[in-house]
Amino acid sequence: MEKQLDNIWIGQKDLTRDEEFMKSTNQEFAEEQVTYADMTSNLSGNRRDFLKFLGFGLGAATVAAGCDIPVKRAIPYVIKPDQIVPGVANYYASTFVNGGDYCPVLVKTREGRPIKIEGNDLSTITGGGTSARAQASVLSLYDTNRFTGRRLKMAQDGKIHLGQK
Amino acid sequence: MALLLTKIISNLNQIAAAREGEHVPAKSIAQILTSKGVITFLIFAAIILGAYTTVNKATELGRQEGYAPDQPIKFSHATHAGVNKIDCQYCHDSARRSKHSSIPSTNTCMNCHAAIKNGSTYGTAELTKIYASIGYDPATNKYIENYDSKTEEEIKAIYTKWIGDEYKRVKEKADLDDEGVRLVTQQWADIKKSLTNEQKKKIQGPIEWVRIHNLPDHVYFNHSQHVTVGKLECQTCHGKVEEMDVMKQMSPLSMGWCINCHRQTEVKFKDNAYYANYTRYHEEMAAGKRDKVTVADIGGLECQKCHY
Ligand code: HEC
Ligand code: HEC
Ligand code: HEC
Ligand code: HEC
Ligand code: HEC
Repeated sequence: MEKQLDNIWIGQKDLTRDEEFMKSTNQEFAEEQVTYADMTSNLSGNRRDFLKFLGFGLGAATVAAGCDIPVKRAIPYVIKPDQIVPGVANYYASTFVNGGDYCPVLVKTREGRPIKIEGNDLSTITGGGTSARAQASVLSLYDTNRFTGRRLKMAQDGKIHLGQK
Repeated sequence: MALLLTKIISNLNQIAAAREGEHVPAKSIAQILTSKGVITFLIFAAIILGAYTTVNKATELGRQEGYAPDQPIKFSHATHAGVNKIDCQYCHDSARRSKHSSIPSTNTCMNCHAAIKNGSTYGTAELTKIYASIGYDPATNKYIENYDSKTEEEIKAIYTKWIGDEYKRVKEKADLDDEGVRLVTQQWADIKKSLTNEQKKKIQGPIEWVRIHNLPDHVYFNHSQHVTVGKLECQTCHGKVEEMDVMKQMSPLSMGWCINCHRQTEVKFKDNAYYANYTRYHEEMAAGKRDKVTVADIGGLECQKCHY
């Protein structure tokens, strides 16, 4: 390709048609290309390298961290109540009362925590029947607004009022 | 192996070609090694091998055969179950009636250690941890009142005094010398470190043992089924516990381990009320058609028996 068409020149070398210079203009983009070698030696990377390193780093970190089994603990009671065997549920008979509803119930507990309320089969009145309300009442046992213990107050009239502050 | 095969094949090819009258130059080893067939085979083999090990290692993640961590108290099964022949179920009393064979509560230790207060191996170092957990004053042989609300300083005063006094008693000294003071500080630091962790700041309260056996949550394992019904010894699964100074997991707790035993183990069928209603097997046994019933026969390989 004939370069220097007409009289358009952009530098002194262009004007004098310097041998070296003419050669280099022919491979206009050659010098711009950054080779992989000098990129790594400069320790600078482009976006793709960054992604590669990020991916590898993340992967390596997960593999390294994932193999570490966390320490689990087994925490027994300090003083174990006799009636509790860890892993075996205890059942207590109780009564569900809510407004006008009444129902004899059996409360299933695990390690002292109530987890299920069912009707009491031994009751001659209900024969083990319950209502949705009675079943759901197990949730109300975990209501944070409940009294945490019994409260006794001797009032002026000398009577005991249960459950009053 | 693969190399040998390719070599033989190429030799055979050569002979066949020679028979047909044409002359094919023998391939050199290098040529064979770089031939397409061999390279494909090698890559294929590498992928299979890699995948195999990856899958194996992945399923093994979370398994911990041989795990023997340091415990907060240097409790030795060799001392208790071995030398002193205490029955496993004296301490692990829920094994026979529950799914869990839980670790004994501190008050179980106190049944003996209210009296055994100075050990022959560690002296006061380890046993005082039991007292600091439950709130027992070994000097007066009384449980401390309102122990839960005591401050760390108060607790420290009680137990450092006990350790110091024992030191003086054993060494027959009137006062604590330098070594005694060092021993007391060191033992107290160890007690504090063992009974507290990131979550548990107070010294009072339960001893937090490091859990060793750990099945994944999707597996149901029941001790009473194996110990009471199956009449298996603890040692079948847990190894020679009575010889262990430090508790260690002996079995892989993998699915293959459970299944293998269920295939091989005969259930103790005779005179066991639990199996009374397996009438067909009983009849077959009586008729001589069947000489044994394995766990697999009664359904021990069904997925839902072990997986919730
Ligand atoms: C004096 C009470 C005592 C006796 C007796 C005893 N153990 Fe233990 N066992 C412990 C305590 C405490 C731990 C928790 C500390 C530890 O892991 O070393 C424990 C832990 C274990 C564990 C590991 C629990 C885990 O974290 O996975 C197994 C298994 C075990 N015991 C089996 C046995 C067997 C089998 C016997 C009978 C040969 C036995 N033990 C006798 C008190 C006892
Ligand atoms: C049935 C009685 C009994 C029970 C229960 C018991 N131990 Fe022991 N313990 C012993 C005997 C006996 C020794 C040996 C004492 C010695 O070597 O001086 C001992 C020794 C020890 C020692 C070693 C002390 C030393 O310095 O040599 C530690 C630690 C220990 N027991 C911790 C516990 C823990 C923790 C528990 C509760 C899980 C427990 N023991 C329950 C009887 C018992
Ligand atoms: C059929 C095999 C087998 C037998 C027999 C057996 N164990 Fe286990 N044991 C296991 C497995 C499996 C676990 C893990 C349970 C888990 O992680 O849920 C375990 C866990 C334990 C633990 C840790 C606490 C727990 O329950 O998770 C203790 C303690 C223990 N066994 C003691 C005993 C004692 C004592 C006996 C004898 C009375 C016994 N084992 C008999 C298989 C067995
Ligand atoms: C040392 C042998 C052995 C090992 C190991 C073992 N088992 Fe068992 N397993 C038995 C025997 C024997 C029975 C029979 C008890 C019975 O008749 O119910 C049984 C019964 C069972 C049953 C009740 C089966 C039924 O039909 O009711 C379940 C569930 C079970 N095993 C789960 C497991 C799991 C989960 C593991 C592994 C963590 C395991 N077992 C490891 C021997 C073993
Ligand atoms: C005897 C008890 C038992 C029976 C029966 C059983 N499994 Fe398992 N399975 C286990 C145990 C124990 C593990 C946990 C293995 C581990 O932690 O590596 C497990 C783990 C698994 C896993 C998770 C992958 C792994 O290896 O950890 C899969 C999936 C699985 N079981 C599927 C099944 C299927 C499907 C069946 C029915 C054909 C079945 N199991 C029957 C005891 C059993």
